[in-house]
Amino acid sequence: MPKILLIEDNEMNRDMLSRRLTRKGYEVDMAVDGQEGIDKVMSNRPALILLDMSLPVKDGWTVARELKADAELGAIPIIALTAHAMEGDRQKAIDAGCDDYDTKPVELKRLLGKIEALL
Amino acid sequence: MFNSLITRIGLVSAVVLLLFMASILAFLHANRISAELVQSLQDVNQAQAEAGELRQQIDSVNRQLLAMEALADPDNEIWISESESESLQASLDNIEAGAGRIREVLAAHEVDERSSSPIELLLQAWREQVRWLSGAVEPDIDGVDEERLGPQAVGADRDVAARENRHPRLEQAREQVGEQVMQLRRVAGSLNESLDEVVARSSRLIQGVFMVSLLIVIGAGYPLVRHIRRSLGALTEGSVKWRDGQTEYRVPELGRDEFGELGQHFNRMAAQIEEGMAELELARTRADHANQSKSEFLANMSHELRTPMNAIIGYSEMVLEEAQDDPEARAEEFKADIGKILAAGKHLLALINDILDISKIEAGKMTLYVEPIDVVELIEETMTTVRPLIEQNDNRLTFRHDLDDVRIESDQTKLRQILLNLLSNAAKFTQEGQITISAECRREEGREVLDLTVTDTGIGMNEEQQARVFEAFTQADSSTTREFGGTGLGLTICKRFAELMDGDLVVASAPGEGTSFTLSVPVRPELETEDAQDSPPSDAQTEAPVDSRGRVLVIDDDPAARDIAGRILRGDGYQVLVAESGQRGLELARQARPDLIVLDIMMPGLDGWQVLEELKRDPDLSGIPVIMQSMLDERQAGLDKGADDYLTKPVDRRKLTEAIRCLLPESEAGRVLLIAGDAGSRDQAAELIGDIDVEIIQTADIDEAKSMFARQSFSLVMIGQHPGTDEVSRFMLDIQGTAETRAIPMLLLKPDGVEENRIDQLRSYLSEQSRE
Repeated sequence: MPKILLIEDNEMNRDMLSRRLTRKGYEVDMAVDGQEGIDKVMSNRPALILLDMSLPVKDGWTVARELKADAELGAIPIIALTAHAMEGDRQKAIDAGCDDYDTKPVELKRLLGKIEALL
Repeated sequence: MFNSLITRIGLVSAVVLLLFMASILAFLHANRISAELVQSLQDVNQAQAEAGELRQQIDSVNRQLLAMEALADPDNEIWISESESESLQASLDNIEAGAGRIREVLAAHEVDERSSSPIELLLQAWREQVRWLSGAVEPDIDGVDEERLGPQAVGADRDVAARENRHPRLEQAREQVGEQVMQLRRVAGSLNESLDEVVARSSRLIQGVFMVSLLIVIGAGYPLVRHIRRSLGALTEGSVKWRDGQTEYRVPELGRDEFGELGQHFNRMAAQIEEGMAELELARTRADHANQSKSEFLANMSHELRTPMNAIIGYSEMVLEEAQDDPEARAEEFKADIGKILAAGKHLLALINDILDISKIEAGKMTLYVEPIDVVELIEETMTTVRPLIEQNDNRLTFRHDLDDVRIESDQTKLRQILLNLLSNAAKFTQEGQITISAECRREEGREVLDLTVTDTGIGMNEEQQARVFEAFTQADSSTTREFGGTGLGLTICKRFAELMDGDLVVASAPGEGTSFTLSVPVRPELETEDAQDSPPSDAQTEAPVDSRGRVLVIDDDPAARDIAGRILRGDGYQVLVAESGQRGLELARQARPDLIVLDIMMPGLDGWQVLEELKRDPDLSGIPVIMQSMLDERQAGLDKGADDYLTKPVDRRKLTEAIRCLLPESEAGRVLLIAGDAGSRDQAAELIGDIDVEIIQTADIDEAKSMFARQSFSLVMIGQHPGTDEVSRFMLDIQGTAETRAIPMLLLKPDGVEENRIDQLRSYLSEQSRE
């Protein structure tokens, strides 16, 4: 099964999403801040990245920009996850290079649809 | 006064005008003089013409006379005719008139004439001659000549002499006329000279006036015009600059005249406009800032609410999924996840409560309930509450104060909330440290202020963090929430509460050295607040309890809800007490012992559940029926915890009154007070009353009986076996001695029973009372 990297600082959300994705058969790797996320992308080469935007150390927009700037890593699809459901948040994520966007609370079915579409 | 522009223009104009008027007068005068001169000249000219004529006439008369003389011969009595004589006379008259006029003209020009001129002498001689020739008289030459003609005229022959003598006279007359003509010519010459002079003088005058006027106009008018042009230019430039938004521009000094004044007014106006614009700009900036803060608050709130919702929904879904996938799973396996759901739910509730508090403060609906408080007691109570939290991080908590008077007047609930918040913050951000509460009084601006300071030795804050610490949803950094929890609204609310209490909350801190928050509140509020003025206890005292169907205590933090419930209940004849917080509700319940309590659940501070728990724990209060009401339907939980009924808000009038009627049966009229110390008396009383719907309240304590009597009404007092006979009889005397209670019947229960007919009487009385 494909490997997904979940970069999320909120423990509950990380726990929840990783467990649910694992149950759906994905292999889930986790990172708690932006820098750790980038490091894990480089070392573990996931098939897809779920990226929270408000992250400590390095925020999600920076992470997305840095990854997309790399020729090889830029090919890995990124889905932005944010609790900011305000107008313009989606565009901000897409502008940073994310391939898709979803709001929290996560609706698993919708998110799975997006993941499958990108894989 | 000469600074005035108008005065200056007026002065110049007046001078020029006066000059012109003077020149016009001078011109008129010259005109008149020259007219007179011209008239004189004409007279002189005429006189000259007449002088010429006069000479001809003299010659003509001379010729006629010579001719007539030659013809006339008096000796033969040959005379000239009468008509000829008359004609001659007329000619002579003419000559005389002409000579007279010439003389007049000359006299007018001051040329002296001899008194008897040669012409007059000639005319006189000629008149004699005419008379003689017409035969009227003898010629009398001598009489005439003696004096006038001199010695030459005296001759031998009168006629010859007369003839001869006529020539010198004639010549003399002719000379005179010639002389006169010469004189007239001279006069005319001098007249002409005068006329020339007058004309020349008047033209010189006019030129002079013109030149002077021109000089004045140029000398005074040019600087004036230049000044006006310059001033108007400056003012125009100013208004153009102001129009283009350069409100800081000022018109230069324009002198001390009207323009100078106008310039000053313009500048003053510009200053006012500038000031107004600056104020508007400031107001707009403030409004923009406030608006931005609101938007930020909303965005943050949305985010903050979503985060726990996310956990609640996510974990719930997950638990459901896991339960579906694995039907064999045991509750144990879900425990941790459900715990997380509960924690997130509690956090969400805390958030909502805080947001409600903030919006209530913002809407100005948060009111104070000011009452006397023992500060030390309040602090010690609060310390007890937070002690477990303090000890979690191995912190020590101490309290020190140097207060002489520990009593202040303030809002207890809000003070407690602030203290709790400060203490729990200190506990959260301090590890193995010291937390200190200190209280001291000081005077500030003529009032006494109490400073409560909570100091910790925790992680502290830098200046930027301190600046934002009272802003909503700002915590030291985003990881703070994860590490330490909290809604991020606590300090915002505390600050607002402090301001609401006419006090302040300030922070002092340094990173790594700890933090200290100081709350300053007035020891006594400046003004009695509205709440304190119509505080519930006074309400309770004004209404006579005997008149009501029962006493209901409404505990609700929402003033609108209190008001509605109060109106419904008062309308139904209940006496209503209100409390705006759980704490206050408990106090009132203890004080006033209501017959029923209507209790709201969602309240800041002590919520409805805690109040219910407290009520049920207190043996004195546990008997009071409680109706809970809330937006949420938690009926079963309410009933389980000891509530007697549960209503969902918004409160329906019918449901509320029905619920109360169920819990407070119309039993006041059918209430029987039994004073007895033994069970036998109660049985006896119950037997007596039978199945009539009345409540028997038994007590052995006369003091309690008295206080019950004061609060409730009874239909009947029964007195059974009681050791204190004296006390009982005093009580009975009291009842009978009080107007309101005199009518209540009293029955003494004797061990040997009551007569049958008395029983009937009693039962019919009680049934009647109970129906009412």
